[in-house]
Amino acid sequence: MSGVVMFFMQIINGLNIGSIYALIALGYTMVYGIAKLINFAHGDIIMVGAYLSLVLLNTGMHWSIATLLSILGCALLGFTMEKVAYKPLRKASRISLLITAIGMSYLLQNSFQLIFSANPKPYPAFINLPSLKLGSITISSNYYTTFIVSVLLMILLTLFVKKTKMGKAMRSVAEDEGAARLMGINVDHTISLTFIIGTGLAAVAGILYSNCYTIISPTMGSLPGIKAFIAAVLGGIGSIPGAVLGGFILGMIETLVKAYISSQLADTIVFLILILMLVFKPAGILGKNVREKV
Amino acid sequence: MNYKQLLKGGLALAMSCMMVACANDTTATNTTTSTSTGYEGAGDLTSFKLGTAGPRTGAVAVYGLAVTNAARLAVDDWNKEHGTNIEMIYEDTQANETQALNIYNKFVSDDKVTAIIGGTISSESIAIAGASSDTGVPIISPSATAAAFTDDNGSNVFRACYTDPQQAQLVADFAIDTLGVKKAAILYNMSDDYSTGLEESFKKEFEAKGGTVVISESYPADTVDFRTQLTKISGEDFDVLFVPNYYQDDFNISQQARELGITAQILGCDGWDGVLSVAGNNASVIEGAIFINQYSPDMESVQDIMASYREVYNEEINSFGINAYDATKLVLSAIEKAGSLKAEDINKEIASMEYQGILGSIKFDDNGDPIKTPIYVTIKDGQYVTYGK
Repeated sequence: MSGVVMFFMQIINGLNIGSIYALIALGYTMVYGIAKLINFAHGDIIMVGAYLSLVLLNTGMHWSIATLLSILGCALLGFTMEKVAYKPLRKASRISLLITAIGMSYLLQNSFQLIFSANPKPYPAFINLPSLKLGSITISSNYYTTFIVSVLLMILLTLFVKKTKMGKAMRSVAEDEGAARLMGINVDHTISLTFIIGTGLAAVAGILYSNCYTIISPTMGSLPGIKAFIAAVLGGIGSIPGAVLGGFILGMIETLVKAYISSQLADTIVFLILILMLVFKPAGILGKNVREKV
Repeated sequence: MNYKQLLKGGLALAMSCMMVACANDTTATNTTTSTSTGYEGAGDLTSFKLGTAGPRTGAVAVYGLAVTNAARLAVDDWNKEHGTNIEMIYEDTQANETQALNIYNKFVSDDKVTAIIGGTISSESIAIAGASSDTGVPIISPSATAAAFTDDNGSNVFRACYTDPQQAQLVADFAIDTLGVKKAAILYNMSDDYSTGLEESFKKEFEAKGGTVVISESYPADTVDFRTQLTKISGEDFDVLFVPNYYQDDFNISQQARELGITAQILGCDGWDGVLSVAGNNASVIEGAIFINQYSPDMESVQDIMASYREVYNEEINSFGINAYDATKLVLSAIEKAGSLKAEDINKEIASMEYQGILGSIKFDDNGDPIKTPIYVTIKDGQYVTYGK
């Protein structure tokens, strides 16, 4: 195999991992941008989405209905989570919210271990489209579906936030919660909606992830969750196109380091980039550097 | 210096004294040489006690339950076959070394067991074996793979399973002698001792026998996407892909290797056992993969025990259990042959016997490690099948 073909294959591998990171990062950035909360349980919602869809698919349900119900299920979970765990703390310090989010993450992981046991389970993949052939390179259907879905969702979300009335409400809550309230915007509803969208996105990510790797376990969400968080910070947390860009860049760096430098060093380099980014450009690639108003 | 500082200083001094005392304590027990103590199990040849221990609760309970349950089953079967009245005492180590030591002490001082089947996992087994030098009671673990278990202990310690280096060597021999291949690629988990150990021994043996490892790639823990490493591997020319990991990784690697067009024979070790539980309807990607294991579920000799275990415990037996069953019967026949409940006599008998069990013949080398028929399992039509059958 020639070096050029190999290089293109690695680029495609990078895009594939990148689109999964991007998809997860979208949910992170959405919730952070509006509610100013880093929802560490986000990775675990991915796991919940995967298990929900597994259970539904095992009943013999058509994949489209199973997917839709899983998204709704996760959205409902996100809604409840916000009302029960985060809303009472909205006036508390940022650190209490963060700790609650970590607690939420453990709660989800451990309750799913109780219900489904810690043993990994096979997932019946349902994306069986034909692979794409470009010369000597084959691109499997999982690759391009994940890519298309993440870019499509990014565009839809951007349009939603920029063009609709609900989106306008979200932007104003993000900018100044108090002022938004004075202008007659229902802040509680807006934040709930944000959580519903964010967790719904996580369900989509969970289902695509499971189709790609076909084994699911209660701890499957933690590592991709952390990587996606890095992607969101890299792209500029709070920015929707930033999350997707960050995801792709992260996936690409990881793959190219593994392929051409060393597999052992891949994670070291990824985290090093995160640190450098935070030192030199804390707002991320597409993030705006907003001064705190005094 | 005020009184608080004094208090702190005093406490620190007291603590370090305690530590030194503890340290002295352990060296004292370690230096006790294993001389013949004349330990003997209570009872007579038709009714004596055996002990078995393993984690029956907690995260690794699946192994301990299999070992202790199968050992009990073996004694029941033996009693029925020989009209004896032997008792198997079983205890839960909780995978905790201190707990394992307590159990050992109970076994030898209260129950006066004739032999011990266990521990189950390596760390607790090492603890028990270490303490056993003062009695020399026969100890045989069906599942402790760490080299230190037999290496660091006396002539009363045996194991019935392969050590990790042994497994990898056998697979390398199999690749060269049976499959007749010369070039291998490896993909292993660099953050796991089991996997790195297997990689090392495989490479050594494969190259010693005239083969070449053309590429050896690694990945960190919790990886699910191996495509980058596999793309690199696919650029090389090789005949077998050695995948020495646990079954979840093994499955993902095989799936992604096939997806990337790698058609080479896939080989593995006993971490592959269980791979079908995560394969679901995608078992075609592991079709034809071969791995070394303690047993194969299609062997005729294990059908009875599989059925009776299912009947008694309402669960499927695994390779830990099968091995424990065989090891228990081995000990029982050694006691019968020795005609004595003296530890010394039984140890001599085990060390010199060649036992014919449900898993084929087994004998022990000077170290207490097994020399036995290797069993290769392959996946055929989504089932585990003995290779070459």
